[in-house]
Amino acid sequence: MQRGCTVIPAKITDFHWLDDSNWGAKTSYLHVKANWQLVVDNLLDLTHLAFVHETTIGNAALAERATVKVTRSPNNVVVTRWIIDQQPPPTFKKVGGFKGNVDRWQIIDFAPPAFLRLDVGACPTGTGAPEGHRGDGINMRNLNAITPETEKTSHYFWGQAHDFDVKNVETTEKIFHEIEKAFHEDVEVFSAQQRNLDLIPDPPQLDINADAGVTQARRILASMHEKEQSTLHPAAAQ
Amino acid sequence: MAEGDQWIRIVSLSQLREDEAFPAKIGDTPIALYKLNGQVYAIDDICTHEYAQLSQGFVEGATIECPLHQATFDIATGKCLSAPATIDLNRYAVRVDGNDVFVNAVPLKE
Repeated sequence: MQRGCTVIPAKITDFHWLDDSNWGAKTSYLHVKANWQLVVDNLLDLTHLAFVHETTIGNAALAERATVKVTRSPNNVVVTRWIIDQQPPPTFKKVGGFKGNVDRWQIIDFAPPAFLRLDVGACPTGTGAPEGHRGDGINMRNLNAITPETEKTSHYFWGQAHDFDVKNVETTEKIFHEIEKAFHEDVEVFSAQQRNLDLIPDPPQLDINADAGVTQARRILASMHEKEQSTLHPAAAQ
Repeated sequence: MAEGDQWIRIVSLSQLREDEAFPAKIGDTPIALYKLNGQVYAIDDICTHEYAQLSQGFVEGATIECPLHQATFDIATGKCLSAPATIDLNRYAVRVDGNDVFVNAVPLKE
């Protein structure tokens, strides 16, 4: 039976940076040998950059010096991370040309079920980025949409956009390759996590503060799932 | 020892925002300050259920919700209001002198 489908444009998550002429951007796809939720969790807890992506976008300051704030609404979680007056990671030195310390931000916007838009960048320390003046540094958007393929495999669509040197394809390629390198490292971690979960299903979980965004996102998903089940099977829900 | 001997200046009043936590320390003890309707309160900052910093949680009215497992506590009294936590938080006397906020290092006894 063919079912009708109503599209509400306002409910489509905005990814305009990918084809906005004020931004340079490139998109890609990864096949992941893990449950889709592990990819979502990973993007909501960016402390992992300090441990997995040291050669590109990570450094110790991300785990040790970040000020983190999580805000939530019924259909959204935002994790805001500021790392003030710290060394930039290797990728930021390469593409941003920073000589000294920077104020770096990572603002992760989660829209269920699996859209994650990361507003990331850095400015030289003292130029006013935390107060909203970002003109002296680099602004980027890392955009992600994850789709389950099976219980243990996923389609991972992603793109990287930047607001500087936007017409220079070499710059777009340089940034893209840095992020792609990091994402391949993530894919290895996802596979390893899935292998562990296969060995020990439903392992005891120890949450730490860095999991606050993950916890809130999982609550939204659990509530959506419950609502969907009660709509599909109203008798069982009573 | 008189209670007044143990007052510690924590922060300027102007740095506190309504409905937002301000994490601080008394010695090695993490505490959090809150400003609700102009009144400043100080309670322990670590959830009594599992190790989590409550100041990174959610202020909902007069309560703070743990960012990890949703235990809630009364900001004014430190009383535990919901599971999975079952133990109250310590609360501390607060004194505001001009723009300076002082907290007494000795938890208040019920």
